[in-house]
Amino acid sequence: MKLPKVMLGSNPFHAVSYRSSQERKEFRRRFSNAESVYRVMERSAEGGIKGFHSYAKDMEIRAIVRLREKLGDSITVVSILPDIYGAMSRQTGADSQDKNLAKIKMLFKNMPALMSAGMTGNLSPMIDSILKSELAFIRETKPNFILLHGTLADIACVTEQKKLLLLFQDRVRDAGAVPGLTTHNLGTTYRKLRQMDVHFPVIEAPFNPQGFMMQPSVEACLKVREEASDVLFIGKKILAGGSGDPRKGLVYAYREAGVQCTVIGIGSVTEADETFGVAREVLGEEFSYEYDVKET
Amino acid sequence: MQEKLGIAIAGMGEMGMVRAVIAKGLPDYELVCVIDPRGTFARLAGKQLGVSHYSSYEKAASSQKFDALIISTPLGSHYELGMKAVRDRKHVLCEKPLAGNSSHAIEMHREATKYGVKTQVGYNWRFHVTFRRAKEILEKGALGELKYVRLMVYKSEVTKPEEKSEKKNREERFGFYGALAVHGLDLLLWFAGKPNSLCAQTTRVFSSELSDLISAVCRFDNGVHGVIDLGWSHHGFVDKDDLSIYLTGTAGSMNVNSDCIETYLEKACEGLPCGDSITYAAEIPYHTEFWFTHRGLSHEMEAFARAVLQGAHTSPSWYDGYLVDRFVETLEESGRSRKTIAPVIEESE
Repeated sequence: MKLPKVMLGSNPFHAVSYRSSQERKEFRRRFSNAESVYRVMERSAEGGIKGFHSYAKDMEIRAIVRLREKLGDSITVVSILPDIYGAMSRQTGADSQDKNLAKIKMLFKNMPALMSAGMTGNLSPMIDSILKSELAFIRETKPNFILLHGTLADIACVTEQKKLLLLFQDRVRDAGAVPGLTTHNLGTTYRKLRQMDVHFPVIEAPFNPQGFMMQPSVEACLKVREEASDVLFIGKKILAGGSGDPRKGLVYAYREAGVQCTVIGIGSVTEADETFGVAREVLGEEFSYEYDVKET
Repeated sequence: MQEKLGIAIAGMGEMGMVRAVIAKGLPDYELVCVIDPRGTFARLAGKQLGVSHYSSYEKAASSQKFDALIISTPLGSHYELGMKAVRDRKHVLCEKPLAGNSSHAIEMHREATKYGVKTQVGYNWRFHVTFRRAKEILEKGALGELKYVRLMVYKSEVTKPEEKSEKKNREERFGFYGALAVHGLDLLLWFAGKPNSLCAQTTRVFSSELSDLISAVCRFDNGVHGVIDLGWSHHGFVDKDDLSIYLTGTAGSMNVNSDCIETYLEKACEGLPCGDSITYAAEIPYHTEFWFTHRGLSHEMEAFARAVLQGAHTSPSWYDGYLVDRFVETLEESGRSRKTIAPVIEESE
């Protein structure tokens, strides 16, 4: 599998902003349909981007499928799973405004797995059920890499849920993709993975000059990056949630932190031109480089 | 010096599980056991967290040795559980609101003082980077003498009539106050001091026991006055809880929410320039051994462990919890009577 040096992130597509409620509203308005998401993806691809991140959200999936139809196997799709709330509403088909009805339907749908979890304390059947439905949901995008969502990865690591991590890896491999994880706590998560003897070939974590979300410290994150020679790192939050300068963020991520790849969320076609233009300047010929990841 | 704080967590709902995960991630903590009267919840949590589980505090306390209790149970049990724990000389971190009743809250505070244990209440927005930084800016005198404060807390939680069971559930959880407003009121008191008098207007749009929309003018002990504007029946606030505080003094003003701090200063102070500036949350250093959610929960729990292990002061303490409970009662009383009220505030000691 090929992992590109620079990838397009998806936070703006589902209205994530670390700056203001106005920006979140603007993203919601701007990305209210798959066409608007596709336009940013298409422009990024025209600018030389080959890697695309995607959450298991309907609009992103439709846009990625369309991009796949146009560009085929020349692009790399990196999916983040599972989207628990999305999985709930997909399982129940409930109006998202009716939270109680959604909960009841979700409970009913997962009753056997829930009863098993309640009686034995074993969550695996329930997680497996969610994973299977989520993998089926994203199948059309033909994901090359599937990363475990940061919140779940962090929980699984600190509570030492080795079985769940291995289950995730197995299901991802069964789907023909390479498993990885994202984390908001690189120092702690990586230490726990080592203790549990669990290896992920790809880890995505925050790296930026401001130290934003680099936990427990900038130094600890850089040390992990240095030590983990058998892991490919994808730097995220390299613009520190939108408050950093792209050039400084890119130089820091590639030259100081030494991550192999980065992922950047982009809110418009103009921003795609500007930010990826800067990335091309910073990386030169490396901009188009793709890492070959053998593990499947 | 003791290196780790041995804790039990009571209540394995959403908040209890979050606390447990953070405790597993922070080196200051050793999670000893979890407690929940619902057998399924207790068993599931115990198994996932790799610790013993019990159906009651009494069973846990008689079987396991722990220094502190985190109370993440529904509001109705805070008083009884809190009193039992402090009498057993356990340090206690209790979720907000402390008791939803100022008589119980002050009793809890006094009992904890009598038994010499550390107490904290889960007003974790004080540990959020922007509000914590705003407090530092205020204390450094960047705004000069504080004169005016405005608190706004908007949410779109209850925007249509709901089922009877949902209403009952909301009332047991202290309505909008319990859902979010108490966080804002705690921040208000933290910034402005104790209330001296207030006049409130309250409306029950969809709830029967507590207000859905609240506005008030308020004066504080130190001469500061301000406006409170709260409600969970506002439409269109869908993406995040909208909680902001605006402060103005003799030398500048500041507007703070969870995304950023906007300042206007007459002269440069505390690394902030003269004139307009904006500082985003992402630009304020925040490091912890285990980060989980944005609201400062990790730092809140680190502060509690530090207070117990190193004998540091706890803040917000149960007395702060009492002040918020008393403030809510005064808002409701003023709204009902349509009178300006000077709340009777018990002293800490």
